[in-house]
Amino acid sequence: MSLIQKTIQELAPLIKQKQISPVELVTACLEQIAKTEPELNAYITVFKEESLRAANRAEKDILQGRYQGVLHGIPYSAKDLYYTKGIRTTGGSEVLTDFIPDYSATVIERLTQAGAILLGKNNLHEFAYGTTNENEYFGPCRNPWNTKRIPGGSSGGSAASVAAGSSIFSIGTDTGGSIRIPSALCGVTGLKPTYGRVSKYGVIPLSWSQDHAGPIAKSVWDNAAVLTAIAGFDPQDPASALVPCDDYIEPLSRNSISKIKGMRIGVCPDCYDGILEPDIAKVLKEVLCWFEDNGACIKTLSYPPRDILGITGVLTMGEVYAYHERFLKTCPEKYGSIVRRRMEKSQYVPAHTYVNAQRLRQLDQQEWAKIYNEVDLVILPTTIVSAFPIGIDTIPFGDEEVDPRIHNTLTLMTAISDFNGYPAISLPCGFTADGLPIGIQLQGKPFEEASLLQTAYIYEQTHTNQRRLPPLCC
Amino acid sequence: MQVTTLRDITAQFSGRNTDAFIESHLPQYTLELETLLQSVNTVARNFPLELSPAQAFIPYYKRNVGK
Repeated sequence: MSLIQKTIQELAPLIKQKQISPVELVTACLEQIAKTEPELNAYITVFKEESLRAANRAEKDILQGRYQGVLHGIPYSAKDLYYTKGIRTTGGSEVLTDFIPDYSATVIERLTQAGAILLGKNNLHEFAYGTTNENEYFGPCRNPWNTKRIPGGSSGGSAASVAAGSSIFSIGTDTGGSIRIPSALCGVTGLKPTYGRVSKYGVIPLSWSQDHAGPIAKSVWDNAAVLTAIAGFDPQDPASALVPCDDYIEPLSRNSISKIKGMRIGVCPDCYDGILEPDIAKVLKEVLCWFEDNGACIKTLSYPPRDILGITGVLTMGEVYAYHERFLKTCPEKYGSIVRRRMEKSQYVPAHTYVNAQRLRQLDQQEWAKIYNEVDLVILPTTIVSAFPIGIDTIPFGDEEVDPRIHNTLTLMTAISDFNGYPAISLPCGFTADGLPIGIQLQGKPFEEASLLQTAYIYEQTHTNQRRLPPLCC
Repeated sequence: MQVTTLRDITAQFSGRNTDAFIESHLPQYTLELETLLQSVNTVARNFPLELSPAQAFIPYYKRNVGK
């Protein structure tokens, strides 16, 4: 296995024991970027010289006995929503193509303090307002498993770079599913933490009350390692939660399958029956059977009703327009046409409709609190469809054909956890008959990422035979 | 929902005139918005009167903004 195919868990001891140098690792990633970028377009900006300088500093520190921890010397990429001091942060848009922030996001600062090395800024769906990563200005990002297909979005470049080995992990954001959707479609693991768990200071917002920052990596352990570095209260973020962080890595060592016995799993078939691709339905059933076979109890929930899922978009609309109004007035022609179309529509949502959507959110919170008195975990498909071709006009949705750029097809199963703020992780659990990855997501209790990661880890460790790499990575 | 309504909202609330791009999408917006607003209104009709919104902001407090 080459260096770029390894996980943080595999690389960290090699770096600590000085068997490999951060310079080797960064060089390997940069070579993979050079090899794959002409096809994948997962990056908007690559920091070749800066990352090699950082790698040299990390090598020197480690050789002199100043090893900082598991992320020291590990190369990563960041969705181009994260402010990086002195380096352009475009939001994936011509609107901000020359914007250079004078400070870095808290997440970037914390990863720098942990010794991780930033390779570059990932391509994304423009301003995170979409799920296909068909970026009209910077070009579409492509799926490493089939480069004619979307990687998902909006953190498409992040997931694609991790899957292709051109970064060891990445940092994305999730407002309707934008960490979990591309993770599922690219066959990697992505975590949306509890709302407020990870600082959003220095992150270009999409919808303030639903935005989440989180990791995308090759494994559950890797996600836990990154979360350890980035989680925690940040006084600079008004939405940051003053809730102590757990140890996210230690519980993974207590990974006995006996922990599944007696676990209460909630499922919501009303949300997806009749609209799930058959291969995804099959994989979901296999996952649920595994939990049942190992002693978990499956409980069918009648919540959430499918008809409220579209309403959650009202919050996004109001908050999006508030942020973008000035640019839509001064330089509307710089937006991609589809993103602009969605944003312009947002100006027509009346205030009381927005408030009613927030009242619905209060009801939603009450329902989920009741549900989690009866269950420990909820399992859902991450997406109802697998990666579809770039540029396709419509895709099937039940009996209809819909434009996936406007319709909420891809966010149907994921927006639930953005609306309620609960943590959710997408795991690669299988493949379609065409060889496209399928993700299944586990939603845990608020601020109980440690327990969620532990359960995900137990599942993952008993399914290592499913770990495959896309052809581009080999 | 009328196209003229949306045009007036843009002019009077957003302080600009609808350009060719927005004009071309206004008829579609009327259809999509009508459906969306009706679905929220339908759900909201059954809310208990005392139901308050989920918190959308946190009141200002003195923060240490050192980096």
